Amino acid sequence: MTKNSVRGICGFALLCCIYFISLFLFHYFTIPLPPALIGIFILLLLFLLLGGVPAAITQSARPLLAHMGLFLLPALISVLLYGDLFEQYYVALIIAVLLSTLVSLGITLWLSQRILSGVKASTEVNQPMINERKKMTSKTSL
Amino acid sequence: MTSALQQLIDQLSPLWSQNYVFMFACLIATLGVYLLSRKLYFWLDQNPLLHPLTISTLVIGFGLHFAEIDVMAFKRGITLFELLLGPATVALAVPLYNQLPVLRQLGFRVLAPILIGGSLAPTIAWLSVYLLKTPLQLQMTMLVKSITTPLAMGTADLIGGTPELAAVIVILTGIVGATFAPWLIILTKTDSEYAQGLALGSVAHVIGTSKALSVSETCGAFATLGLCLNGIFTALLLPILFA
Repeated sequence: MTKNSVRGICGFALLCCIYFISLFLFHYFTIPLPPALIGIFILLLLFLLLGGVPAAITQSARPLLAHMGLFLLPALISVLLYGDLFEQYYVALIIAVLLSTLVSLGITLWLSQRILSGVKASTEVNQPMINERKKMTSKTSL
Repeated sequence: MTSALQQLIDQLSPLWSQNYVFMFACLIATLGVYLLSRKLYFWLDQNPLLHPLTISTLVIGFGLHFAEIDVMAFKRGITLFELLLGPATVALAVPLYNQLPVLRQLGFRVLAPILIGGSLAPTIAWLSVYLLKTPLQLQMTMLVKSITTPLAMGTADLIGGTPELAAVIVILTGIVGATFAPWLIILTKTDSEYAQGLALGSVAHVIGTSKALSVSETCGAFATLGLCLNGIFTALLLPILFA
């Protein structure tokens, strides 16, 4: 248990480092990408070089991903500050969200069904994540 | 070099430049509200309409209003959580990496629905707000509705939209998608788990992925793939077009 926690903390520290590096790169080179995306690419590159996901990262990724809702609350609370913009255009917002989501979901479902029906992916879903998923199903906040 | 570092430090500065007691109180309050609304959510069988984020925001909103606490000050208080969003988003690389074999195997078959679904949603949304004569900032914010929240916020910032509003729109999209998904699945006769997962992940991102996971592991895996790929493509494409 503590071994996993230590791993988790190390993994978390690494994730933070990668994030700071990508923030720095974002500002220094004015890269037109969200800093988090830069971080994702860096981490992905790391995985490809290492040939897998280190246990430390898996341990820290799981709670971070499961509780992402908490980290989104500051943004949502800020919306309270935008009450005016909201009030004026909330009809447009609601129509836009409803319409686009329903139509695009419907079409994507239909299209995926056409393209993927009868296809069987013979690669197994990577085992470690299956256990993660089982835990995530019960704890995923988003 | 120094200005980049300076900007970094500015972002972190709220952590040490305010009353620690206040900051601690804000953090604990937010954490408490969040955990309680999560308990409520799972207790009520994960109904997407009672998502912990909606409940938490409403509770905190009302709380701040009645306690007459300045929203800006409270927001500064919870900067720690805001900053943690960064590493959490970077952590998305983990499920993405685990899904790469699937992508490698199925290639175009998975890319096509993601790209099409991922471009349809923002286009229709943008058309709606454009035709209804809303401000440009709102229109730009709408464009990121189909990618996962942390990436949507970053991208919105780059193309002249409002990150916080983007977060709300994305979460609304997720809730709408997850709520109506069962009916749409029946309507479009989508039997394939892969198709369901892919569509749910690309259009309703994280909330859709939770829904997909409740169907099956594979469905959830495909949803994760849809989420990550759509997020990457949109976050790459929009700034190139509009930044």
